[in-house]
Amino acid sequence: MGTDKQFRRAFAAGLIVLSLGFFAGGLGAATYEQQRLGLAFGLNGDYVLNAAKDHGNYIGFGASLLLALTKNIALEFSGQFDRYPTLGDAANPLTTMSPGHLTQVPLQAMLQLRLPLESLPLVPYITAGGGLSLNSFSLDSTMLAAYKALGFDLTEEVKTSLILSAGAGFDFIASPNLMVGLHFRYRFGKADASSTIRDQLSGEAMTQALTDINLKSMIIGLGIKYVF
Amino acid sequence: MKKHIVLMIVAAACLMILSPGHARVTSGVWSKTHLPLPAAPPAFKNPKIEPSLLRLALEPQSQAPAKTSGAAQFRKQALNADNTVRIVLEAQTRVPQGMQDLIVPYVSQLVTSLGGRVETTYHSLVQASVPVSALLPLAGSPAVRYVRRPLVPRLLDVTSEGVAYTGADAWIKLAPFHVSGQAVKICILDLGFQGYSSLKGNELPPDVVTESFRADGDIEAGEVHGAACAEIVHDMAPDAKLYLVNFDTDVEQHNAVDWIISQGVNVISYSIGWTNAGAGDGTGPIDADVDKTAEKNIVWASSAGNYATDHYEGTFSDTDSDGWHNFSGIDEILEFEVPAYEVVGAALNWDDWGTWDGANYSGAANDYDLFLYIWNGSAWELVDTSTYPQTGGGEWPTEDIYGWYADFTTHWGVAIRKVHATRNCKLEIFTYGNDSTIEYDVPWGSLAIPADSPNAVTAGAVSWSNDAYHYYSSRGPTHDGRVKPDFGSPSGVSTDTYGNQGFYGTSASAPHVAGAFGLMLGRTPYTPGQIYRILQDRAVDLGTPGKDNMFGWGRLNLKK
Repeated sequence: MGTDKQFRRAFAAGLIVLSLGFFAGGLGAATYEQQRLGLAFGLNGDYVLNAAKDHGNYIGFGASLLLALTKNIALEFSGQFDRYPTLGDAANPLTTMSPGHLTQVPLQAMLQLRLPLESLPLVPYITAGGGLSLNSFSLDSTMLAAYKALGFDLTEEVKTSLILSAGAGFDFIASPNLMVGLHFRYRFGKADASSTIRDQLSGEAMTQALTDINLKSMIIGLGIKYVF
Repeated sequence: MKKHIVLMIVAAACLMILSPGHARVTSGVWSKTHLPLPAAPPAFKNPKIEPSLLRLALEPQSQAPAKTSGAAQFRKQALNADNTVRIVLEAQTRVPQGMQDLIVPYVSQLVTSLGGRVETTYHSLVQASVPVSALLPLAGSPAVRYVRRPLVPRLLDVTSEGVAYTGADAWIKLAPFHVSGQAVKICILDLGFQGYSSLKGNELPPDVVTESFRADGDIEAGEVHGAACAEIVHDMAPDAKLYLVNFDTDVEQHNAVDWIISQGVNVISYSIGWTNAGAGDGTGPIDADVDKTAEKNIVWASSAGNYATDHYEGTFSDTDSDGWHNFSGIDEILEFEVPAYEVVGAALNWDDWGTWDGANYSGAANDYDLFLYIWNGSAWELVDTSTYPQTGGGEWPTEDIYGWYADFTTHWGVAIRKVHATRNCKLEIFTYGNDSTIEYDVPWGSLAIPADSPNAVTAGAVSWSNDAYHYYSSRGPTHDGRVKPDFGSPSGVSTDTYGNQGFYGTSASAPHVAGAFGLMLGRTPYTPGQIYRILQDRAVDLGTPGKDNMFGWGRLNLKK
């Protein structure tokens, strides 16, 4: 239920972004020739559907630099901030995180194959790339407090991981300096993590390796780019 | 003169024959063999009256007067304070037309005429309190179809007070932290689980695994003890999958343990104790079962035993050189009082087991015998002997006598005679049947087997409300000097099985420990060894600071 609400909000926000883009472009449009993309700075908002059933869906935000190498090839450097709830999965305790929140900061380099249309102010593209995801995890505060009350400290850490992405999208050339766009991406990734429980009294500690934490996700995003 | 002497002898003989004590002996009033326990009454038969009521009705008439008090004591739960018994009369329903409305008033009138009081009626049922003497006449009336005791409701949702007292309630609410998704498996290894079916879905999980290793395959075996233990385990670890397994002999236990291991059980709750089944130093066939499970990382929570007041230990001493052990001074009989109908017995062992090779002891070369006596009111009479020969051929240094009872409360005694010995061995006696402390009691070292096993987590009994040591709870050390038990654990707690009278004994304590391990195994990734150390640090230290032979590390506590 909450996820649907987030989804609606995300799209509402996306529409506002697009509207602002069209407005900034004087409701007019420009062609690729008029724009001549060289370097662009973009902001985007994404709705992310996690593949892992114990990971909640969420809205992420990011920024990117798009560097056109040729008319059809561009290189995008992006950074994202994703934070989403994890629910824990008692059936798979060594491949899932506990209840809490997982934060991902994916830093990626993506190659875009851009195909500007001659007659329309649209640039469809396909993209693929990869990078690192800087990950961190915070345990559910209620769970932490419950264990702490019994004299146990819980910690859970997730390591930085490699990620790969592929997808497609299009940019609408609103003006020579502005593009708004819609993109779809599939992000592949998994991470290793560890959990530790430590008894405050005896000092007995047990650390377990958590492997193959599923970071795969489907991303639907809206963005706006300022073209220098 | 000779005539007078003969007359005196005859008179004395007559007095002996007529004296109540001698009458009991010669008429077989006390006898070996079967016990008149409520669960197994004598084969009195009358299809119109419940057997327990029939027994109540017949025994005072069929026994000597001396029996009456014993019988009444035996039946005290059935009788009201005014010596009446509450019954339900099921009136005949197959009566001619027009008589149906008259039958219940008639039965009611019959009750009144026999000195009883009708409490209430419902359709053809008449609930009444009647004198015992009215039972047979009522059953004999053609207006009565059946005489029975009232059905009584069971208490529901009884949770052991030990759950909150040990802090397990807080653990139950915890979300598991990276533990296997599979439920922890806890096995209650016991003698019988009578009534377990009716507890399922309420006091026990809806689904439990049962397996009997008895020769007759009877999982209930007329014994409720295991069901009560299982209740406590379920209270402590409600998410655990329970295995109810019973047995009756050592051989059956060995098979049971192998099966339990094959099922991947994590914890065993064992509220049973053995005497004469090992040297008390962690060796022997029963302890070997514990060792087997330990190799598989299975926790074996064992009762310490209830022998602290039934235990004697001392080095053989024959100060008067007559071959009999002197318990004190020249006293050669150790006395203990036993209530009527309680089964009496004694087990003797001495420190001559030899070496344990994993399957057998090398055996004893010193030989002692055990003798059981009864006090007949004026003298000790020999009842039974145990004279197994110990010759150095692998025989165990044990003697035992069991299965006697009297229908009157009296003192019994045991004596030990040296047959041959190259040294004065250290003797150990356990007595059965006494409900008060035996003479020359030595509470220390009174652990049952396998509570002595280094691989068992041994539970002693403490009050669930104030940490008071329960006087009967067996104490350490083990015969090789290790401190036991490991923890004091709640006893006297409420269970549906035993009702309001409370579940006392270290039998109630072990399931709390087993449940605590099961609960923590189900919530944390700790190993059994780590959990032991965690519980060790959390235990509420009682008695002598540190681990001691009464409370172990202290009272079981899961809280900070």
